[in-house]
Amino acid sequence: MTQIGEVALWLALLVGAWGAVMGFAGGRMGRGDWVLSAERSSYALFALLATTCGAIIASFLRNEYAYQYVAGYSNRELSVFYKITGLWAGQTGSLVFWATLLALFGCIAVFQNRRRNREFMPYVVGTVQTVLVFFIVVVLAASNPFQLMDFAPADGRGLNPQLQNYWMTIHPPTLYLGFTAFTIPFAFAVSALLSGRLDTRWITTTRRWTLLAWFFLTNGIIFGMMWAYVELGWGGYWFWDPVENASLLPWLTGTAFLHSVMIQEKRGMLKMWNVLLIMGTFLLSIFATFLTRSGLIESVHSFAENTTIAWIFLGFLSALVLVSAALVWWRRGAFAPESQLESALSREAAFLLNNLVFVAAMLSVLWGTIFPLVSEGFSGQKITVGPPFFNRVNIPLGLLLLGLLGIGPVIAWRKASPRNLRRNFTAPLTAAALVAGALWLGGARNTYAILTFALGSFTMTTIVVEFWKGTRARARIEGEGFFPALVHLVERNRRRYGGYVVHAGFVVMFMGFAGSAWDVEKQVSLRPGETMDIASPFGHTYRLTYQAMSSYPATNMTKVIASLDVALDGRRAGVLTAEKRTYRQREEVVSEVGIRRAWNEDLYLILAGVDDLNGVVQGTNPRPLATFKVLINPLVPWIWIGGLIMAIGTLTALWPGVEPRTPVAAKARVRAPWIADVDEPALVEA
Amino acid sequence: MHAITRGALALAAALCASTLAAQVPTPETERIAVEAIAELKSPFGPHMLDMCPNEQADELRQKLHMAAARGAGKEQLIGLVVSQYGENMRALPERRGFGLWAWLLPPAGLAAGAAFLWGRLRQMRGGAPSLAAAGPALSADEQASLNDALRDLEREDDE
Repeated sequence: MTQIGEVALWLALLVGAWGAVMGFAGGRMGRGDWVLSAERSSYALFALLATTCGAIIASFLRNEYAYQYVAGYSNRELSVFYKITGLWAGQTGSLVFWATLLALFGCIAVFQNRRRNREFMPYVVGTVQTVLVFFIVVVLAASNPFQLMDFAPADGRGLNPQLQNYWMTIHPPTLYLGFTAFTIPFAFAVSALLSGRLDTRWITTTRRWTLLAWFFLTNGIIFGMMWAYVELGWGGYWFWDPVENASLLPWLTGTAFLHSVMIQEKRGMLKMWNVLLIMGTFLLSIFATFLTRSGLIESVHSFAENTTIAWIFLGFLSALVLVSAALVWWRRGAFAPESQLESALSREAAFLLNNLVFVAAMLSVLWGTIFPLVSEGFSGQKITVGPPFFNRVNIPLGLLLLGLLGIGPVIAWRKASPRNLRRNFTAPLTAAALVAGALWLGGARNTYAILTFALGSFTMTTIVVEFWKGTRARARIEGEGFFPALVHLVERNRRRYGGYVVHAGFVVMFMGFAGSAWDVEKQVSLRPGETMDIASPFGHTYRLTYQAMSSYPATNMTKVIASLDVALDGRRAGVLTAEKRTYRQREEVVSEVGIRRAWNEDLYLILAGVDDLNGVVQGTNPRPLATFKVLINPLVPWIWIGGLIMAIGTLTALWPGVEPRTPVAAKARVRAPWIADVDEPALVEA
Repeated sequence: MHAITRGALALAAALCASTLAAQVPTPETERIAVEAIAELKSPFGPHMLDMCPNEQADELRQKLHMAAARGAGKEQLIGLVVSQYGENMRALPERRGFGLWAWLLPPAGLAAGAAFLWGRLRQMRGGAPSLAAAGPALSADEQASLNDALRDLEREDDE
């Protein structure tokens, strides 16, 4: 089976190269048969890469420790679940997985467009397959999953303990789905440039792809935050690590793109900007992969340093930048706007400002991430750039975006009249002022937190008013009840109202971030029977009583568990446990935190230290002194709730609606020919 | 004398002076320690000091809490770690030397982008035909029709 996987990988390289050449050549020469061959190679390529993935998973399940990759990330005691996820636990497997997901999306794009957008498809296939060939070359040249050990050990090293967590199993695949899905709109942009069709068609065609990529990337980032929160055991969820930043970079430009395409669709403006944004998003996805894989920048969760991979990635990235820039320069005459901006007080201007802030945020995150390398290169001294820098630079930008979220969707296109401004913004501004005032009177003094809640209320009010106005109008016109009218309103314009829901989720998430202004932290050392108190900013007090410490062996590890009784304002509120796990194969000790969740805050317990861990494990010390770090994290649950709301909003916008079918459209659909039946020159435009 | 050395000496003096009467941590000293720790990288791994799981990092955190309780300020605590483990323990680049570039570029980029955008906006608005160039003044009836049309347009936009 493993040999089949290796052969499949080599065949994938050949098929990918064939598809790339046939796609570009077929498009250029107007050869439909070549294009068809390229398209069919997409299906073959996916089948071959899926076979490779299957072979890697099989080698994990069959404990084939003769393979370096399996021996490095698995052992006999590892559960089947984590053996399967071993596919993306390490550098090698995750690169194959990355390529397979891209091949899958390539197949879907080809299948989806088998009868439409024919002029784009040769170059789309060519571009996707070029990217795939690059990844296969990286795998074969620098990170082969089928590399054999000098000898076959009896057991493997096991999986990194911190990766043995539910969120870590779904975080990387979701992130990869986001990164890879952005390749499809990028490929359409390249195709639009090569074919000279720079109207809105490539944008409307890839609208769902962009949303899908954004959906996966957003959720991948949120899953990573959840993993960090429950697994890294320090009470935070985002620490501006280079690898985290790398995933945020394409998200920022991708989000800017989602907004700016609306201006091109409505007003025929920003054509070049949109091409640049989607190219930038794709390039940043590759950059993110490069940053994670090269190990050039010190990070908590990057893969080991691999200079071969670093050079290959750098070469590919440079080539992509040059080709993209050359294509845009070549077609620079075709980007003329179809209309002009009429006023700075308009939706177009608000969206432009939104784009400016997103791009500024991306550049500042990028700059901070690479600054240690830059400083070392230019001054010989590596200057560390940590979370305080990113917070200081990006929080003001985030607040600006929060305000623009409320302005952009409701301000009029072309030019807002004073009446439009008064009508749309009186209630939101009042809400913002009231919330800010209430917080100030309530004793809040953190400027950023007050601003977050004020701007959040401003934006949330605009969203509620939009839903209210639309529903009321529909109820009156159609004679429906309020809730049926609301459902039909969203159904009729999923993109617009789905977008509002995403904005609402963003607001809730930001309010969750602002909760950190009221974080409480306490560290104490206790013996069984002793207690500690910690006061919540919401006015109540938790009393924690350290009951006992127990130890027992589990699969793959030995657990030491501290149990604490929790009382809330004197009333019993359950038991909280925190653990120290010693993983046998890797001899690593990992903390597992205990979290008591409420709607408004988390009580977060870390077992920071045990004075006699061996005594506890051997049962000789029944009353060990334990050090606990206890945190109250206000509003953290809102971050996850906000993420869920954003996911619901994106799915609402993504969900296919019933397209109005005119008789002409229906006729055209029935008669749509297969590619082979069409006159080739008419089909493919060079 | 280098600022770090001065800071370390000042801290050492403060610590010596207060050894006779060790202070109990207060919420204020805890806040100072937490703020200082949040601005430091861990010398014992790739993490920030406040989240580093290493036992030595825990010891260093305790040491900083104790120093804060004895009266050390935030900059003194940071100076203590920097003097012991090196300048790259600062997680916040200094606003001098090469570190200044870290702070300058983001606002400069934003300002340049805003200036470019403003220029483009002016150019685009300037490119639109002016009212004066559009032709002779409108009659009262034409003006009324135009106002009605604009009102309709605005209503459409609002919906």
